[in-house]
Amino acid sequence: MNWLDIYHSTGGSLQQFTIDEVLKSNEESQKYGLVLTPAQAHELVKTRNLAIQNHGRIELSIEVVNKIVYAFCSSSYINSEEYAWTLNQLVELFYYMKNETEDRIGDDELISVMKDFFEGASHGSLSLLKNRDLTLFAQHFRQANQSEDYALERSQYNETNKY
Amino acid sequence: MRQTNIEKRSVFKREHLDPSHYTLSLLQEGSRLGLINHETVSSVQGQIRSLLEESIMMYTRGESTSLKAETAQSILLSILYTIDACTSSLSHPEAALALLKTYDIKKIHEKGLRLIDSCIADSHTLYQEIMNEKLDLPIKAYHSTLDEALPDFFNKYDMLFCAQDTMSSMDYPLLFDDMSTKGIYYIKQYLEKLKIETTFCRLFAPEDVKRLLVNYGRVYDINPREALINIFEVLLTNSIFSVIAGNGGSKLSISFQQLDRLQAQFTGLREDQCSSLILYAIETLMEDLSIDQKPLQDYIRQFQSLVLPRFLNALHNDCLSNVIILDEGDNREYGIVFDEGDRMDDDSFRELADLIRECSAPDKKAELIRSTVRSLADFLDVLDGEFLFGDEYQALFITLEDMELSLLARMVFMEELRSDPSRFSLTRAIEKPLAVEWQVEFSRYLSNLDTERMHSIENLIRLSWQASGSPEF
Repeated sequence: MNWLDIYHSTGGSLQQFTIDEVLKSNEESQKYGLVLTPAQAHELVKTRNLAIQNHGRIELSIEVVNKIVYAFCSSSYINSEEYAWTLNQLVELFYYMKNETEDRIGDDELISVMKDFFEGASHGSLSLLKNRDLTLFAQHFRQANQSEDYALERSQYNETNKY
Repeated sequence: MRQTNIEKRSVFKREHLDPSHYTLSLLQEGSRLGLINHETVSSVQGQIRSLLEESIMMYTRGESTSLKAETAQSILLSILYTIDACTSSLSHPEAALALLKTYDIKKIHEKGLRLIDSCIADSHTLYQEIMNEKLDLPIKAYHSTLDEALPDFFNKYDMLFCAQDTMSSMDYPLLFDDMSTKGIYYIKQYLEKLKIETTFCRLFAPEDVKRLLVNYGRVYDINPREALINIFEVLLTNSIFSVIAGNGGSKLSISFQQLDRLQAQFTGLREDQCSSLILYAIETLMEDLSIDQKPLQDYIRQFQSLVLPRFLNALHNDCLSNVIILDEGDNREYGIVFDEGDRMDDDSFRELADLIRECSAPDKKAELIRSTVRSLADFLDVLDGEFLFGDEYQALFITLEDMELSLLARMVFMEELRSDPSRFSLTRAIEKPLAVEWQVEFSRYLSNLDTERMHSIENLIRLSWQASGSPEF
């Protein structure tokens, strides 16, 4: 009995529910002239499921997709023609970055970092965002964590061998 | 997880229940036998899923809705392990199934957490008790297990998210280890057995134990200090045959003559007669050593099934001395083999290494080494450390006396000695091609000695070989 499969299997029956949840984000995004069609919402959910699977992850809710929508819909770099495509790219990038930052950064903080780079150094370019700015960020983030872990291990070792 | 008692009258068959996945196998088997319906099984699954969601949120501290699949799997296994702790604490599978049918899984999980917590506390107590009675023997695996691996386990054990993990490098082997258990329940059984074994080992004089271990190392051509040997097993085996040889259970030493008598005594006996004799010896040694603790008695009696086939096989193949370790008289190497006291600590050794490198005159280097190094093991570390070059080795060897040279020669020419000790010739041995630099230089040094000195060293080698055999340090 694989309990994780049981857990995964609930995903199918929740499909329509999750699409409806994503469509709710239109209430906020239409303030900026950006709207997802049901087909685009469906596509976004598929992208999210595929990204989770490809990056070897498990997720408990659809919340992150909506958080990404809320964070990015106000960006002046996104127009209505590219809105759905950009969201798909950002969702995929989000799960990629969760792995690259070794699960040591919360969802909200990561989305905020992505948005800051997108609006700043990347100037709305998804290519620069992924291949330059977030890649560098992830490298520095991991190095800082490694140094922190090493310092902690050393202090624990010194504590143990004090006597 | 501890083994669950499955009574004969239970409708559950032992082979259908997996002790390491007890609850899952119970649900599966209960469902197959019609003792639990599909709806209840689904409800249990749903409750476990809810627990998993709660635990994942707790793990990510609510900051992330996703996590790596392997992390989620580990958390799920931890939940199931904790539920198993509760269900397997009940005496019957029926009772455990009734619990799953009537109680919230969350409550069962909470009870499991309390049981695991209590198991951690018990294991801590056991650990402290063992540390208070720790054996004073220079067996590396024994000390590293007690001083490093177990404290490391206690520091890192995570009962909430990785309760099933036994991430530890406990190298010291037990005689009867149960590797089928996991997590803290594994550690507890390990400590219980280690405590039993330690109690037994403490019944013998430390010097006798050390002496036996050196002889054991000689027989198997291993360094007892480094080897992964179970001390209890070595002691118990010799103690059993010491009783049969007429020494009494508290004595570990068995002589050549006694071995001959044992061989004669057992030859011609049927297997069941050999078995009875060994069983009798086991009971006698427990009496001799006043062993009245039931767990230790059971542990010792369990050994009969291990020692008997081994003994019969050795008897059949005329190699009893591989099972019964002989005491080959005064062991000259003994003091060096076990003399930990004179060994330098790592910092002092590093300091010496720096001083040797800084020193440029060969005779000063030799003087520095001779005045600082007190143990043979450190001396060998200096040689192996390649701190010296060419003539510097010669300057060092010239300061050594015949006895010291003979010890080094025994190591370098061990194979020649082993193949035919009675015909060992140092003159022939030094012609052997060598690869290690210090050994090449050593051989060169010996080849320049006069015949009389060579004979003297050769005699010392033969004498010490007859006395103790193995040149392990």
